[in-house]
Amino acid sequence: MISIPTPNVSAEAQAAFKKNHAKIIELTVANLLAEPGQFDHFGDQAESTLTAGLEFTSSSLETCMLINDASLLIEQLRWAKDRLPHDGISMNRMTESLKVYCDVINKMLPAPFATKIVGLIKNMISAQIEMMKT
Amino acid sequence: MDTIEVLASEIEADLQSKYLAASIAGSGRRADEVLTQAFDHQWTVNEIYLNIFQPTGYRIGTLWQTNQISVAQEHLVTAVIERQMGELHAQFKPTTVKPRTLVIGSVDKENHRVGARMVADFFEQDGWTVHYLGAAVPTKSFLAMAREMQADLVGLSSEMIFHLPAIIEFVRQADSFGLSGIPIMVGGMPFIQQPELYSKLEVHFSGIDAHEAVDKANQLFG
Repeated sequence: MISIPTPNVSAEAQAAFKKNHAKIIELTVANLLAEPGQFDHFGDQAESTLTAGLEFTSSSLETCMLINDASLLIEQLRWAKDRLPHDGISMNRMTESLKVYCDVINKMLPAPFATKIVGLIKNMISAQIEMMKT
Repeated sequence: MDTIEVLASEIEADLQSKYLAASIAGSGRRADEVLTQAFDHQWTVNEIYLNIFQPTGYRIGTLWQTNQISVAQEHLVTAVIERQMGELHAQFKPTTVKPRTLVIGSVDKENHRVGARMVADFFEQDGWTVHYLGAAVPTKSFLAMAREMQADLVGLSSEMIFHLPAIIEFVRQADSFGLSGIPIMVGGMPFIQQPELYSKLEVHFSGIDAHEAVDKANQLFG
Protein backbone atom coordinates (compact mmCIF):
# COMPACT_ATOMS: atom_id res chain seq x y z
CA MET A 1 0.00 0.00 0.00
CA ILE A 2 1.39 3.37 -1.03
CA SER A 3 1.73 5.89 1.79
CA ILE A 4 3.46 9.16 2.61
CA PRO A 5 4.96 9.74 6.07
CA THR A 6 3.56 12.41 8.39
CA PRO A 7 5.06 15.78 7.34
CA ASN A 8 5.89 17.23 10.80
CA VAL A 9 6.65 20.67 9.37
CA SER A 10 6.92 23.47 11.94
CA ALA A 11 4.50 26.39 11.96
CA GLU A 12 7.42 28.71 11.18
CA ALA A 13 8.40 26.69 8.12
CA GLN A 14 4.78 26.60 6.95
CA ALA A 15 4.52 30.36 7.38
CA ALA A 16 7.70 30.89 5.36
CA PHE A 17 6.38 28.59 2.62
CA LYS A 18 3.05 30.39 2.51
CA LYS A 19 4.64 33.83 2.50
CA ASN A 20 6.95 32.93 -0.39
CA HIS A 21 4.77 30.56 -2.35
CA ALA A 22 3.95 33.04 -5.14
CA LYS A 23 7.64 33.77 -5.71
CA ILE A 24 8.52 30.08 -5.50
CA ILE A 25 5.93 29.26 -8.14
CA GLU A 26 6.98 32.16 -10.35
CA LEU A 27 10.64 31.11 -10.28
CA THR A 28 9.80 27.43 -10.76
CA VAL A 29 7.69 28.25 -13.81
CA ALA A 30 10.48 30.44 -15.20
CA ASN A 31 13.01 27.62 -14.73
CA LEU A 32 10.68 25.07 -16.30
CA LEU A 33 10.02 27.28 -19.31
CA ALA A 34 13.77 27.75 -19.73
CA GLU A 35 14.04 24.05 -20.57
CA PRO A 36 13.93 24.01 -24.36
CA GLY A 37 11.02 22.22 -26.00
CA GLN A 38 9.48 20.74 -22.84
CA PHE A 39 6.27 22.74 -22.85
CA ASP A 40 6.03 23.99 -26.43
CA HIS A 41 2.80 22.05 -26.92
CA PHE A 42 1.06 24.45 -24.51
CA GLY A 43 1.81 27.40 -26.79
CA ASP A 44 1.01 30.75 -25.21
CA GLN A 45 -0.83 28.95 -22.38
CA ALA A 46 2.36 27.35 -21.03
CA GLU A 47 3.01 29.87 -18.27
CA SER A 48 -0.58 29.99 -17.02
CA THR A 49 -0.96 26.19 -17.20
CA LEU A 50 2.21 25.52 -15.22
CA THR A 51 1.36 28.24 -12.72
CA ALA A 52 -2.12 26.79 -12.13
CA GLY A 53 -0.68 23.30 -11.66
CA LEU A 54 1.87 24.51 -9.15
CA GLU A 55 -0.78 26.56 -7.34
CA PHE A 56 -2.79 23.36 -6.85
CA THR A 57 0.32 21.49 -5.72
CA SER A 58 1.30 24.26 -3.34
CA SER A 59 -2.18 24.44 -1.77
CA SER A 60 -2.35 20.66 -1.42
CA LEU A 61 1.02 20.62 0.34
CA GLU A 62 -0.10 23.51 2.54
CA THR A 63 -3.19 21.54 3.55
CA CYS A 64 -1.17 18.45 4.44
CA MET A 65 1.31 20.47 6.48
CA LEU A 66 -1.49 22.27 8.32
CA ILE A 67 -3.25 19.08 9.34
CA ASN A 68 0.03 17.15 9.62
CA ASP A 69 -1.29 14.34 7.48
CA ALA A 70 -0.03 13.61 3.99
CA SER A 71 -2.46 10.83 3.17
CA LEU A 72 -4.62 13.27 1.22
CA LEU A 73 -1.78 13.59 -1.28
CA ILE A 74 -2.28 9.97 -2.30
CA GLU A 75 -5.73 10.76 -3.68
CA GLN A 76 -4.31 13.83 -5.36
CA LEU A 77 -1.58 11.75 -7.00
CA ARG A 78 -4.17 9.25 -8.22
CA TRP A 79 -6.12 12.13 -9.68
CA ALA A 80 -2.99 13.47 -11.35
CA LYS A 81 -2.09 10.05 -12.72
CA ASP A 82 -5.51 9.79 -14.35
CA ARG A 83 -5.83 13.34 -15.54
CA LEU A 84 -2.51 15.01 -16.33
CA PRO A 85 -1.45 12.80 -19.27
CA HIS A 86 -4.63 14.00 -21.01
CA ASP A 87 -3.57 17.58 -20.32
CA GLY A 88 -0.22 17.05 -21.99
CA ILE A 89 1.84 16.36 -18.85
CA SER A 90 3.26 12.88 -18.42
CA MET A 91 3.90 11.53 -14.94
CA ASN A 92 7.64 11.54 -15.67
CA ARG A 93 7.40 15.20 -16.64
CA MET A 94 5.49 15.93 -13.45
CA THR A 95 8.19 14.21 -11.40
CA GLU A 96 10.89 16.25 -13.10
CA SER A 97 8.89 19.45 -12.56
CA LEU A 98 8.56 18.69 -8.86
CA LYS A 99 12.33 18.31 -8.64
CA VAL A 100 12.72 21.81 -10.12
CA TYR A 101 10.15 23.03 -7.57
CA CYS A 102 12.27 21.49 -4.79
CA ASP A 103 15.41 23.21 -6.10
CA VAL A 104 13.65 26.58 -5.95
CA ILE A 105 12.36 25.94 -2.42
CA ASN A 106 15.90 25.04 -1.35
CA LYS A 107 17.15 28.33 -2.77
CA MET A 108 14.41 30.55 -1.41
CA LEU A 109 13.73 29.30 2.10
CA PRO A 110 16.10 29.02 5.06
CA ALA A 111 17.73 25.60 5.07
CA PRO A 112 15.94 24.11 8.12
CA PHE A 113 12.55 25.07 6.67
CA ALA A 114 13.39 24.02 3.13
CA THR A 115 14.72 20.65 4.26
CA LYS A 116 11.43 19.68 5.91
CA ILE A 117 9.23 20.88 3.06
CA VAL A 118 11.43 19.38 0.35
CA GLY A 119 11.43 16.16 2.37
CA LEU A 120 7.64 16.06 2.13
CA ILE A 121 7.73 16.72 -1.62
CA LYS A 122 10.37 14.03 -2.11
CA ASN A 123 8.19 11.59 -0.21
CA MET A 124 5.37 12.59 -2.52
CA ILE A 125 7.59 11.98 -5.54
CA SER A 126 8.50 8.53 -4.17
CA ALA A 127 4.81 7.73 -3.77
CA GLN A 128 4.21 8.93 -7.29
CA ILE A 129 6.96 6.70 -8.66
CA GLU A 130 5.47 3.75 -6.78
CA MET A 131 2.08 4.59 -8.23
CA MET A 132 3.50 4.69 -11.75
CA LYS A 133 4.60 1.06 -11.35
CA THR A 134 1.03 -0.09 -10.66
CA MET B 1 -30.93 -8.82 -0.11
CA ASP B 2 -34.48 -9.98 -0.60
CA THR B 3 -36.30 -9.85 -3.93
CA ILE B 4 -37.75 -6.38 -3.38
CA GLU B 5 -34.35 -4.96 -2.45
CA VAL B 6 -32.74 -6.53 -5.52
CA LEU B 7 -35.46 -5.06 -7.71
CA ALA B 8 -35.09 -1.63 -6.11
CA SER B 9 -31.35 -1.79 -6.60
CA GLU B 10 -31.80 -2.69 -10.28
CA ILE B 11 -34.26 0.16 -10.77
CA GLU B 12 -31.84 2.58 -9.13
CA ALA B 13 -28.95 1.43 -11.33
CA ASP B 14 -31.15 1.63 -14.43
CA LEU B 15 -32.32 5.16 -13.65
CA GLN B 16 -28.79 6.31 -12.85
CA SER B 17 -27.51 4.88 -16.10
CA LYS B 18 -30.29 6.44 -18.18
CA TYR B 19 -29.88 9.77 -16.44
CA LEU B 20 -26.13 9.85 -17.01
CA ALA B 21 -26.52 8.98 -20.69
CA ALA B 22 -29.26 11.57 -21.22
CA SER B 23 -27.45 14.39 -19.49
CA ILE B 24 -24.08 13.70 -21.12
CA ALA B 25 -25.88 13.74 -24.46
CA GLY B 26 -27.22 17.12 -23.48
CA SER B 27 -30.83 16.01 -23.57
CA GLY B 28 -32.49 17.77 -20.69
CA ARG B 29 -35.85 16.42 -21.87
CA ARG B 30 -34.65 12.82 -21.66
CA ALA B 31 -33.20 13.57 -18.24
CA ASP B 32 -36.63 14.94 -17.27
CA GLU B 33 -38.20 11.67 -18.39
CA VAL B 34 -35.87 9.75 -16.08
CA LEU B 35 -37.08 11.84 -13.15
CA THR B 36 -40.68 11.17 -14.19
CA GLN B 37 -39.89 7.44 -14.12
CA ALA B 38 -38.34 7.84 -10.68
CA PHE B 39 -41.50 9.54 -9.41
CA ASP B 40 -43.53 6.74 -11.03
CA HIS B 41 -41.53 4.34 -8.82
CA GLN B 42 -42.64 6.44 -5.81
CA TRP B 43 -39.22 7.98 -5.25
CA THR B 44 -39.22 11.09 -3.10
CA VAL B 45 -37.48 14.25 -4.21
CA ASN B 46 -34.84 13.48 -1.56
CA GLU B 47 -34.16 10.11 -3.17
CA ILE B 48 -33.76 11.76 -6.54
CA TYR B 49 -31.15 14.08 -5.08
CA LEU B 50 -29.28 11.31 -3.26
CA ASN B 51 -29.66 8.47 -5.77
CA ILE B 52 -29.49 10.32 -9.08
CA PHE B 53 -28.01 13.80 -8.77
CA GLN B 54 -25.23 13.04 -6.30
CA PRO B 55 -23.90 9.86 -7.95
CA THR B 56 -24.18 11.49 -11.37
CA GLY B 57 -22.17 14.46 -10.15
CA TYR B 58 -19.38 12.25 -8.87
CA ARG B 59 -19.50 10.02 -11.94
CA ILE B 60 -19.02 12.90 -14.38
CA GLY B 61 -16.07 14.07 -12.30
CA THR B 62 -14.46 10.66 -12.75
CA LEU B 63 -15.32 10.56 -16.44
CA TRP B 64 -13.65 13.94 -16.98
CA GLN B 65 -10.66 12.90 -14.88
CA THR B 66 -10.12 9.90 -17.13
CA ASN B 67 -10.76 11.96 -20.27
CA GLN B 68 -13.94 10.12 -21.24
CA ILE B 69 -15.92 13.35 -21.39
CA SER B 70 -14.90 16.95 -22.03
CA VAL B 71 -15.08 19.87 -19.63
CA ALA B 72 -17.99 21.18 -21.70
CA GLN B 73 -19.89 17.90 -21.22
CA GLU B 74 -19.20 18.02 -17.48
CA HIS B 75 -20.65 21.52 -17.38
CA LEU B 76 -23.59 20.41 -19.52
CA VAL B 77 -24.52 17.68 -17.04
CA THR B 78 -24.14 20.09 -14.13
CA ALA B 79 -26.39 22.58 -15.88
CA VAL B 80 -29.09 19.94 -16.36
CA ILE B 81 -28.88 18.94 -12.69
CA GLU B 82 -29.02 22.54 -11.48
CA ARG B 83 -31.98 23.34 -13.73
CA GLN B 84 -33.86 20.33 -12.37
CA MET B 85 -32.93 21.19 -8.80
CA GLY B 86 -34.49 24.60 -9.35
CA GLU B 87 -37.64 22.98 -10.65
CA LEU B 88 -37.83 20.49 -7.79
CA HIS B 89 -37.09 23.06 -5.11
CA ALA B 90 -40.80 23.73 -4.51
CA GLN B 91 -41.15 20.13 -3.37
CA PHE B 92 -38.76 20.70 -0.48
CA LYS B 93 -41.59 22.08 1.63
CA PRO B 94 -40.72 22.33 5.31
CA THR B 95 -42.98 20.33 7.58
CA THR B 96 -42.02 22.48 10.54
CA VAL B 97 -40.26 25.75 11.25
CA LYS B 98 -37.09 25.67 13.31
CA PRO B 99 -35.54 28.74 14.91
CA ARG B 100 -32.24 27.97 13.19
CA THR B 101 -30.36 29.66 10.39
CA LEU B 102 -27.83 28.06 8.05
CA VAL B 103 -25.47 30.02 5.82
CA ILE B 104 -23.89 27.71 3.27
CA GLY B 105 -21.72 27.90 0.17
CA SER B 106 -18.53 26.74 -1.46
CA VAL B 107 -15.25 28.08 -0.11
CA ASP B 108 -13.10 30.66 -1.81
CA LYS B 109 -12.05 29.61 -5.36
CA GLU B 110 -14.11 26.39 -5.19
CA ASN B 111 -16.31 26.39 -8.28
CA HIS B 112 -18.22 23.18 -7.53
CA ARG B 113 -21.50 24.14 -5.94
CA VAL B 114 -24.11 21.45 -6.56
CA GLY B 115 -23.32 19.62 -3.32
CA ALA B 116 -23.78 22.73 -1.18
CA ARG B 117 -27.06 23.49 -2.95
CA MET B 118 -28.33 19.97 -2.28
CA VAL B 119 -27.54 20.33 1.40
CA ALA B 120 -29.24 23.75 1.44
CA ASP B 121 -32.47 22.27 0.06
CA PHE B 122 -32.49 19.46 2.64
CA PHE B 123 -32.06 21.96 5.48
CA GLU B 124 -34.89 24.10 4.11
CA GLN B 125 -37.11 21.04 4.08
CA ASP B 126 -36.12 20.40 7.68
CA GLY B 127 -37.46 23.81 8.67
CA TRP B 128 -34.25 25.83 8.82
CA THR B 129 -33.88 29.29 7.38
CA VAL B 130 -31.23 28.82 4.72
CA HIS B 131 -29.03 31.31 2.91
CA TYR B 132 -27.26 29.54 0.04
CA LEU B 133 -24.36 31.61 -1.29
CA GLY B 134 -23.28 29.52 -4.30
CA ALA B 135 -19.73 28.89 -5.48
CA ALA B 136 -16.33 30.42 -4.71
CA VAL B 137 -17.38 32.72 -1.88
CA PRO B 138 -14.48 34.90 -0.67
CA THR B 139 -13.76 34.06 2.97
CA LYS B 140 -14.28 37.51 4.46
CA SER B 141 -17.48 38.06 2.53
CA PHE B 142 -18.74 34.64 3.62
CA LEU B 143 -17.99 35.43 7.27
CA ALA B 144 -19.65 38.84 7.00
CA MET B 145 -22.79 37.22 5.58
CA ALA B 146 -22.83 34.61 8.35
CA ARG B 147 -22.64 37.40 10.92
CA GLU B 148 -25.27 39.53 9.18
CA MET B 149 -27.71 36.64 8.91
CA GLN B 150 -27.01 35.61 12.51
CA ALA B 151 -26.18 32.10 11.41
CA ASP B 152 -26.47 29.28 13.92
CA LEU B 153 -24.55 26.99 11.59
CA VAL B 154 -22.19 27.56 8.66
CA GLY B 155 -21.78 25.04 5.84
CA LEU B 156 -18.57 25.02 3.81
CA SER B 157 -18.13 22.92 0.70
CA SER B 158 -14.79 21.93 -0.83
CA GLU B 159 -14.57 19.27 -3.52
CA MET B 160 -10.82 19.57 -4.07
CA ILE B 161 -8.12 19.19 -1.43
CA PHE B 162 -6.27 22.25 -2.65
CA HIS B 163 -9.23 24.34 -1.48
CA LEU B 164 -9.09 23.02 2.08
CA PRO B 165 -6.80 25.86 3.26
CA ALA B 166 -9.80 28.14 2.72
CA ILE B 167 -11.68 26.19 5.40
CA ILE B 168 -8.78 26.60 7.80
CA GLU B 169 -8.64 30.30 6.97
CA PHE B 170 -12.38 30.59 7.62
CA VAL B 171 -12.00 29.03 11.06
CA ARG B 172 -9.04 31.28 11.87
CA GLN B 173 -10.87 34.44 10.88
CA ALA B 174 -14.19 33.60 12.55
CA ASP B 175 -13.13 35.25 15.82
CA SER B 176 -12.47 38.60 14.18
CA PHE B 177 -16.00 38.56 12.77
CA GLY B 178 -17.54 37.92 16.17
CA LEU B 179 -18.27 34.32 15.25
CA SER B 180 -16.03 32.63 17.75
CA GLY B 181 -17.02 29.00 18.19
CA ILE B 182 -19.81 29.08 15.63
CA PRO B 183 -20.66 25.52 14.55
CA ILE B 184 -19.22 24.74 11.13
CA MET B 185 -20.04 21.72 8.98
CA VAL B 186 -18.04 20.77 5.92
CA GLY B 187 -18.67 18.58 2.92
CA GLY B 188 -17.21 17.46 -0.38
CA MET B 189 -15.12 14.63 -1.79
CA PRO B 190 -12.16 14.93 0.64
CA PHE B 191 -14.56 14.35 3.54
CA ILE B 192 -16.09 11.31 1.88
CA GLN B 193 -12.61 9.87 1.28
CA GLN B 194 -11.58 10.65 4.87
CA PRO B 195 -14.57 10.82 7.22
CA GLU B 196 -12.44 12.01 10.17
CA LEU B 197 -10.77 14.80 8.22
CA TYR B 198 -13.15 17.42 9.59
CA SER B 199 -11.69 17.12 13.09
CA LYS B 200 -8.22 18.02 11.81
CA LEU B 201 -9.66 21.22 10.36
CA GLU B 202 -11.18 22.12 13.73
CA VAL B 203 -14.75 22.20 12.45
CA HIS B 204 -17.70 20.45 14.04
CA PHE B 205 -18.74 17.74 11.60
CA SER B 206 -18.94 16.57 8.02
CA GLY B 207 -21.59 14.59 6.19
CA ILE B 208 -21.29 12.19 3.30
CA ASP B 209 -24.53 13.51 1.87
CA ALA B 210 -27.29 16.04 2.51
CA HIS B 211 -29.34 13.64 4.60
CA GLU B 212 -26.47 12.90 6.97
CA ALA B 213 -25.64 16.61 7.20
CA VAL B 214 -29.16 17.41 8.43
CA ASP B 215 -29.11 14.49 10.88
CA LYS B 216 -25.79 15.56 12.37
CA ALA B 217 -26.85 19.20 12.62
CA ASN B 218 -29.98 18.17 14.50
CA GLN B 219 -27.90 16.00 16.84
CA LEU B 220 -25.63 18.96 17.49
CA PHE B 221 -28.49 21.32 18.24
CA GLY B 222 -30.60 18.77 20.05
